Amino acid sequence: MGLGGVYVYMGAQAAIGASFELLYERAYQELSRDVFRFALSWTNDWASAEDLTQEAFLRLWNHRQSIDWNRPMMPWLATTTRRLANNRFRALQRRFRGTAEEMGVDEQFRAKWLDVRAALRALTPLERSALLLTTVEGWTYTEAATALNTTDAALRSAVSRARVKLEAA
Amino acid sequence: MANSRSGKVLADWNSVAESVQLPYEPPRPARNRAPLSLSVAALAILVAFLGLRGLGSGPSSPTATVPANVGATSEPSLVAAASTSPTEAQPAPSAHPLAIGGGTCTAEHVRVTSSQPAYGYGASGSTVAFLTLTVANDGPACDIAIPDGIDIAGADGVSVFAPITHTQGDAGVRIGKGGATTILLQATWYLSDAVTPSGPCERQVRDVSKVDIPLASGSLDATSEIVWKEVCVSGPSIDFRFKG
Repeated sequence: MGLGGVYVYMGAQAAIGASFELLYERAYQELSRDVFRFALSWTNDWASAEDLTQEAFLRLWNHRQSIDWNRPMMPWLATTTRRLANNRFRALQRRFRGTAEEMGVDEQFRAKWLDVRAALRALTPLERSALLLTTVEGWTYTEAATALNTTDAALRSAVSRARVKLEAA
Repeated sequence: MANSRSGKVLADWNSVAESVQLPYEPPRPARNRAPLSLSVAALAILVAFLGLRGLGSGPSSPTATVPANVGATSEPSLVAAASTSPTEAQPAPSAHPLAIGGGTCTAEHVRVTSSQPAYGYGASGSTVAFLTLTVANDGPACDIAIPDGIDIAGADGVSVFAPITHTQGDAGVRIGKGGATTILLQATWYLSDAVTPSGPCERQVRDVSKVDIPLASGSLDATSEIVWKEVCVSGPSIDFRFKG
């Protein structure tokens, strides 16, 4: 019976581990595209957005046992993505990878993406993300402000500035 | 919204973003041998405990069968054994989002002057490919250090960090002004149904033809005419060494 009890304990631990894996997989299936779009709005760089999406989910995997899975995952992923992006750009400052081509974009969309990227380059990351998240992605001002680590008022101001800049360009 | 310029830009952004093709499977860190060793250790503790107490002599309560002192030492092992990813002690992959080089050489003075691909002999079920790079220095003497990884690009052109192994030779070389050195990269991939030494790969890059070796500043870029069919990036699968 003692041995059986230990087996039950080990089985329970295995079940807990398996449940974390299922939660993680579900989070990825449901949110990976949203995370990519957030990363794209912040970085305005397709390849970076793809890489950051993978890295954000790897961070989620590493924290799967300590995270509160009962709460929405997107704010956590968005904040993680933004922090990774900031760290990444600091590390890449000495290695310029600028190129006229944007790798990773589907061929039929590449020309359109280059135009969009050029238009949005006039905006700061905050302005760009604020505008895209609230206008295209349907986030509330509060949700976007939380993910971008700013206040509602600052976010609304950023959205307004972004619109003015885009129209004036 | 769509009638204004900003509206058009946003609509175009949305349509392009919709086209993204992300991997179907979520990313996971590499597995290693730790779970097996931890499982064995946990089993050994259990067997030793049962041997001291005698089988079947304890009470039926699961919590009472494992004394506190044994539980305190074995619980982390049991949890780790049950975990599918006991790699918590490893640095997070994002600590190296792209390869970062060491040494003192910079891309301003050091460059690849020749890139020679070749096939090698591998174990049954595997393919080995080499890429020999001649690296010349037209600046002041400097050092190239073995990095923790290199960047590789597959058919999609997206650079991915690939950890490396370093099985032979020096950990760094000094290249004098006007001098050169040789870097040998070795990639190994397996047929889909072959047994690999380290088990199935969780994340891989296909059709690799470009490599990017980081320096202290900038990088060495090279292409291989022999395409590396599959490179496992969830663990070190490329060997890096200096020759000559």
